[in-house]
Amino acid sequence: MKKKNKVREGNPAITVLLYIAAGAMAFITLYPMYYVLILSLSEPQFAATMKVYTWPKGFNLGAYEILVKDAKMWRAYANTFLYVVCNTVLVVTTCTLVAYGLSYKNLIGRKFLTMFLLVPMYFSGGMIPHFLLIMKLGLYDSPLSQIIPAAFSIWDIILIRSFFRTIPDSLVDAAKIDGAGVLQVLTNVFLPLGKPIFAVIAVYTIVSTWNSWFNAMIYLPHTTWQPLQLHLRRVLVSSSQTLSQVMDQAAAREAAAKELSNAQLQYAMIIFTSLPVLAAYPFFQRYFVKGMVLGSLKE
Amino acid sequence: MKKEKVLAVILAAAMTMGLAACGSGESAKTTTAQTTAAQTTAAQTTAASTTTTAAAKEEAAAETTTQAEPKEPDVIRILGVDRSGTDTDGRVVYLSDWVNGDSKMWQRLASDLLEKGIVLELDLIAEDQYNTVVQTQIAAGLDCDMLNLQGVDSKTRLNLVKQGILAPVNQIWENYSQESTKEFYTTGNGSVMLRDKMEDGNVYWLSPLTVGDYEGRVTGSVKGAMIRKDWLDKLNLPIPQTTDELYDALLAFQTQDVNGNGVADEVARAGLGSFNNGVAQFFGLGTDLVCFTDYDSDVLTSPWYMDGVKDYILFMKRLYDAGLLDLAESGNTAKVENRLSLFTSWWTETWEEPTVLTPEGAAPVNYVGISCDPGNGIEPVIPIQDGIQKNANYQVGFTTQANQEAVGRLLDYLTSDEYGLLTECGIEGYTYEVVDGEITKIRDSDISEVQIMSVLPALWTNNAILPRLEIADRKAGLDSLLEQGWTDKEAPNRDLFENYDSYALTRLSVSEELAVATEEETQRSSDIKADLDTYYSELLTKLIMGQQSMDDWDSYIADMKDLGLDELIEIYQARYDRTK
Amino acid sequence: MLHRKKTGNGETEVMKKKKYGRGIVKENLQVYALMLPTLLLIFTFCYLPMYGVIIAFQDYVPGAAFLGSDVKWVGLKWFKQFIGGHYFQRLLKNTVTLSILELIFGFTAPILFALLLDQIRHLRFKKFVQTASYMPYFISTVVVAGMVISFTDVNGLITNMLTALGFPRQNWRVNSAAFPWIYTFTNVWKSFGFGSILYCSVISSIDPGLYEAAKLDGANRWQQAWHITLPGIKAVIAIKLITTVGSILSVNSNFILLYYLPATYDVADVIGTYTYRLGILEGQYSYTTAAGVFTSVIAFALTYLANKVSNKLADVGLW
Repeated sequence: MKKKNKVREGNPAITVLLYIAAGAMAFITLYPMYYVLILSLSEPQFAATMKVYTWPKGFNLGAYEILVKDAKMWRAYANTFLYVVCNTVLVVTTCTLVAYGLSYKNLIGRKFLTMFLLVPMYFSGGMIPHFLLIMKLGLYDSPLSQIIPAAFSIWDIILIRSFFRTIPDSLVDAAKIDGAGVLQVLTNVFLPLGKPIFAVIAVYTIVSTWNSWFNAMIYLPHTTWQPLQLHLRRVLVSSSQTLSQVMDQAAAREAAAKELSNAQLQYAMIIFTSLPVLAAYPFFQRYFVKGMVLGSLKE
Repeated sequence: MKKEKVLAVILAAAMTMGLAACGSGESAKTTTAQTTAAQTTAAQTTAASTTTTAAAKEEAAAETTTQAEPKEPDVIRILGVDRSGTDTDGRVVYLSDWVNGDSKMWQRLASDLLEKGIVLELDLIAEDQYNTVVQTQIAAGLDCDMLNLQGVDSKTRLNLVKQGILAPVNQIWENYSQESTKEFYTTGNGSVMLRDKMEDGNVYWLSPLTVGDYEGRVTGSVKGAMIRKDWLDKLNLPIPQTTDELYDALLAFQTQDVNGNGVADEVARAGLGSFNNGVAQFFGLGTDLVCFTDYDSDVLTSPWYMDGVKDYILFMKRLYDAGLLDLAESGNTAKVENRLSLFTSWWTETWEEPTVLTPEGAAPVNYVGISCDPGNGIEPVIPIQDGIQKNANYQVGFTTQANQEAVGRLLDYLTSDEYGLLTECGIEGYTYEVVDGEITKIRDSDISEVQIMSVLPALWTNNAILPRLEIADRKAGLDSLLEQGWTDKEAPNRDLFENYDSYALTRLSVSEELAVATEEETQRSSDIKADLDTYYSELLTKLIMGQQSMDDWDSYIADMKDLGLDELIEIYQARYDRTK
Repeated sequence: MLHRKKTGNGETEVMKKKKYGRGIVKENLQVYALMLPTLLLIFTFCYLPMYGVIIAFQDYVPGAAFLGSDVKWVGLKWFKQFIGGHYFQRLLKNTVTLSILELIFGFTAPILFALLLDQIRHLRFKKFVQTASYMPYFISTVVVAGMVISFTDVNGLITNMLTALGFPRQNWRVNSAAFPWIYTFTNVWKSFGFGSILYCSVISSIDPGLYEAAKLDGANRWQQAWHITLPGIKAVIAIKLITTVGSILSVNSNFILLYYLPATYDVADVIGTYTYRLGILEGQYSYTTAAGVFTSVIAFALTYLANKVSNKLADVGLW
């Protein structure tokens, strides 16, 4: 790496400018997270105004204390963890199988299959028919509703297929000559070579599962199995009501009371729930380098 | 111990229902039936003799079978919202915490209901999720006896009625409730529910009910413009009586930096895109796109057709041009930051003030209701709720799956004083005390639910599972304000109630006064409103901001007529006329 | 290897010429057996609910059967109402304007950022900047909107900066002219870092020998970027572009809903926000479904077109 870089040095003044530009980019992206952090540490009244820019105004760990004691949040954390693990394993498995099929040379009905995969990327039946289906399958109000419908991803199939194209035919042919069947070619050739793309798919799935809440809102009416993001959204949204629109005195009083107590809590919550993904991300980053490139190209 | 005379309940028997049928649940029972055991039989025979629907027959039959074991209570399954309340220590408590914990409030409700032979089985959904859950469950086929209808739009409701999923509540109280309940809903205060009569003559949902009383006069409460009285005092300004004085005061707040933060950032919040902002009412305008011409008339119109509308826009433009308006219409930043000079709220509220962040040594925050004369012959109006007010947001309905006879008994309970008192004040000696015949809530307690009951009604009511029955004694409420030292806040309210007839009023909410829209009306209204709402709030905003010219007034009105404004007024008028 | 460049088509031709041998049928059966569970999932969760689009052609009310006897068929009523509506032109104009801004800035920002990062030699610093850059991607829209509202308020952070640059002090949130830029900036800020990950990895996989050779030919920093790095990521750019073009009618209405005001409706009201106000708030499922079908059809057509063009010009495509 170092060698390559040395070759390309140019005007040092411009180099400095480029460093400054990169530093500025890091600042404008890091600052909001820092901003959320200092809000979460400020006294609730200041947090409510959102006008704390450089340093916490006052110091108050109350929100974090409440969070740590929040049994519902820990439960939601555990649920999200469960969904992340299950979905990652399932998505990688199901998508690999189809991608392998598509890369099989003598596949009958390839055109039809391609169309079959393509259409759902643009057309869907909408919320109600989906809901009726989940109901009929008995998945409503069950954690499986977060796992089974999310157990595949057409986009990921396309990515893996593109990656598999880079595997030379000669390897497959050689395996076949050695007497390998359909299954053996998969396990002996494609699976070992496909590791980088599996890592990419895994990361995508982890991030999207971690951040998803919409399906949970529709299919999980009770908090027992709800994921973290829905819990987070609850805290965030309930305090974003406009008081003047509330047409009932008890509700107005309640909204005013929540305004202060929630202001700080919601920021602490953001910090708390983003941490695992943010902390884990640099670790995943390594796997991206190989897989992402190869997976997204056609040649 | 700090005490508070309660706004909510004085058990004026004559107000809740007919004298004869009144009293506690126990005495009511004995008037309708000789013994409690016999009551069921009585209800059943009434049912059998007056049955008109197959459902009622079935229920009667079902009742005969359960009669073998008379002790077995009936289960009513409710789909509702897991409402929350914040106690004075800042803890958020949910209804489900009450139900699953050892809440005395909930235990009392449960035991009261058990006495009536009813057990509630709750399916509680988080508030932010309820709309989605109820819409999707309706799509899949409801499976409950009773549900919170929040988030169920009128079109869907009509369809639920057409499909025979919602049960006519009036037939339930007719056939299965005791006389006093029937009376309450047909001739008593509860008769406002009859405004929701459908074309088939039936009522399909119950609304929370607030009956306001000021020394025998039925009175609502005001939600209007309020100004920072402590700021006026600081600058030695009187309470503005005219809009010009108001302008001067708001300007003085800025120029003299009344909040003392060194920036001219004192602003008034009056939403630019709507008429429901307190300031429009100074110019005699109604609060909604369609409103009554005046409080006592039966004629509907639109603020766009009213005399004061141009003057109102010009006044707002003056405020806008001088930089006196808070343009962030959502969020409460300006108020919390001690920058908000004027806003709209209930004139008796005391809960906004603690959320304002003032520098040390400043006088306590005090928002006080005002009404200003525009001085052009137009009389300002006060936006006030109907004295007998049914809240259109929190309705509950019953399904035809429900045991109608059990629901009948539930209605008996929900209309009883016992329920009203428990919901509004709680339990004597636990959440309130009676001193000299007046109810005083206990405020300083360590117990969370006692804290909640000191500021809110019970968590099961309003937007939760059961309708509310509130008898608001306005006089006691004002006395309590005085006792807490809110003298300035109390004054305009007292003046209004004492000299009620000399004030011009406007209705705070028009839609609550209308009959249920028919299918066609629903469709037309939503078709019209889709574009008209966007058009008028945008127009209003841009006129005030000077981005559109007042010279083209006639063309704007013509545009709105094209978009269906007149037809919308006609639809509202027709709906209102049906309530007569 | 040579004919593989034309992938799909080439393979099918080869297949058609052959008569399927017994072995091939047997292998196909095995392959399909492997694919079956996933295909079943796709059929169940993507295709089965598709019949739901028929509510766009009827007057649907929740709880009614899609094909029940009491269904009111209204033909193209909702489409006509949507397209013939008073605000349709404005909605389309706003949607397309915001999307094009998004395309211009949101699409190029990650590429430029990746090129910039490529110039950073200090590996630790580079990694730090890159890791920092994808953080906004994880902040929820509600928080982002709240921050932007506060920053653009009359004495907010951004307003202060703009005032320093000579703009009159004002509440930028009600400024129609500023809205598209605030919207675009927010979106770019939120996703440029995450989007650049892909480009960064592609760049790092470019053969260092190419730079070496260019250096010997006397190519400077810019020439190297222009002649080596950019061509190196050409294919990825094309793929990304195709997918972005497809989403031209779906702007981030979540953010707009939280941020817009009637004062900025004339530039901020897009198809998504309009159908939200109408459909979700008023429960008009048929109408929103019709609007959804409308945007899906256009998205599909645009993607198809972009794919065709890209296949022709650059020999790169989604399928």
